[in-house]
Amino acid sequence: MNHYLAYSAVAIKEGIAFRVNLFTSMFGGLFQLVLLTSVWRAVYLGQGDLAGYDESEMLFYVVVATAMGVGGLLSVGPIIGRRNDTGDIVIDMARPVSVPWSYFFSTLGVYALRFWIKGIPTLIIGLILIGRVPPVSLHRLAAFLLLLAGGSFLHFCLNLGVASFAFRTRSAYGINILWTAATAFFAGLLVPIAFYPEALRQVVEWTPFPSVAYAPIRVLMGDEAATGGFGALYSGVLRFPSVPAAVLEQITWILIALPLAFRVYRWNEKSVEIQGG
Amino acid sequence: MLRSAVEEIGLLFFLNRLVVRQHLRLVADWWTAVVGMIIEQGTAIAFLGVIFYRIEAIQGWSLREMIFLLGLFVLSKPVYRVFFQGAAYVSEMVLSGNLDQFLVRPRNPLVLIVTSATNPVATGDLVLGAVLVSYGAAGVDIEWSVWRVLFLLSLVVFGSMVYVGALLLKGAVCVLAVRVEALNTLLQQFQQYAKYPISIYHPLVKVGLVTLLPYGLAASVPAAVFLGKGGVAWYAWLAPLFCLIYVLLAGAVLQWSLRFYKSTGS
Repeated sequence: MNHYLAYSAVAIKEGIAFRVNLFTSMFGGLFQLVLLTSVWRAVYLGQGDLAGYDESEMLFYVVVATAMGVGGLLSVGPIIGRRNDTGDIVIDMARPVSVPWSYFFSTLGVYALRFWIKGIPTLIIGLILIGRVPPVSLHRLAAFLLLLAGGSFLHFCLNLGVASFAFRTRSAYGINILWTAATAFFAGLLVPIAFYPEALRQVVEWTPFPSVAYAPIRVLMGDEAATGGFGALYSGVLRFPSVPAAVLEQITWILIALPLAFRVYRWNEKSVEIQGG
Repeated sequence: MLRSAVEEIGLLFFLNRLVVRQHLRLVADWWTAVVGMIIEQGTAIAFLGVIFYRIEAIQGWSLREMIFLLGLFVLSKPVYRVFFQGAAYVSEMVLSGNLDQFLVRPRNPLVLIVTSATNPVATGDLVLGAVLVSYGAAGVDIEWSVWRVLFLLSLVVFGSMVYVGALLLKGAVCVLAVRVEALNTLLQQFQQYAKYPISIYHPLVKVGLVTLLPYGLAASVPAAVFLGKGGVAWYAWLAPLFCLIYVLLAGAVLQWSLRFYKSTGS
């Protein structure tokens, strides 16, 4: 375990080394936040509730979703792409550690820093911008943080499997764009899934994406209705309240995605081909 | 001077042909990049679709008009991506020390830098942008004329200069501060502002979108001109010219910053 934690420590040290970069990165989430709040304010001009969200709830949703997007979801796609591009992947494969786990811990270091440098400031500044801090009970906040950690790990699992296809395509550029777009849309980072047309919403709810971001945000906002998909199943059949149902749904997806992601990674790893560059 | 400029442009096309050929070897990556871009813009379309599923207009802009604007935004990128993508990698060049290679060669370093890369996504941009503009324009009342078509074509060419200019300015900052990769994210996110009508933003953002990082000149301002939206001054027609001036100024700033360049030696 210590070997792996060393990867996180190195990533944190690298991140801190360049202070201008660190400081500038704080504004990344802010830019996105200003864009989305401007769009949503324009959308709600002269409107009442939309899909069960009033303007104030929507803005709060946007702030939390943006903060999660910039500082909370572990993504190994960039590191896989970089190591594959430079050929350094073969050095990683020669080391006596698991490559996916080493990437996980390395990314964990980056995100530990990003959480504090980007996620938290984005959240705070966002709440100041919208001028609303809704009442959140302690147990809701605890449940949110638990689901945030789980959602982030689930995101890592899903991303690992998909990003490893870069070994076949020789570059991760397209795959990473595709992944970012898919996550933003299906995980509810751009728009709450409740906004989708009914048929699309039902399909999306049976994918793992809502467990990554939508479910944690709903729990934080105090939404008592169970999430769809497995969440609704647990809630309906087992009579679970919304929070345990959301946690159980996330665990279910992690149990499915983790072994599958490693299997796909191993399969794709066989296609690694370095051009000697 | 004119002869030198023509030589540099010839060099630009020659070097560009080389990097395009390099990319053509990676066919699978080319396609995934194009598909990825289409999905990325597809997300923007889906975002609009989901919103317009619930409402009819955003501050007077209908879905078709928003798609027209998005199409202009997409169309403003291919020239930058094909010919000047290298401008995006100045930070990496500074960090890795590779910038040294460009500075010791007996040609204009700016031309060598901007032509050092290309982006296959451009083909997808061109097709998707044309489709979106056509689809958007078909549903709104635009009086097409020769001048408007020329204006559109000049936007495709010169709108790209805004992206190049912003990246050259970022490059200048990287030359001075070494590692400012986070600026990539900031620029990419600020670009997204141009996908929406400029009228929805705070006045400070509006100023930023037409001055320091004038992405608005590449899409949202021209779209407002085409669609006859109120509050657009006559000089909005000069947007392509402003884009060109911007890139020339940004190039001069990068040239100036190179005086202070210190190689990382890595």
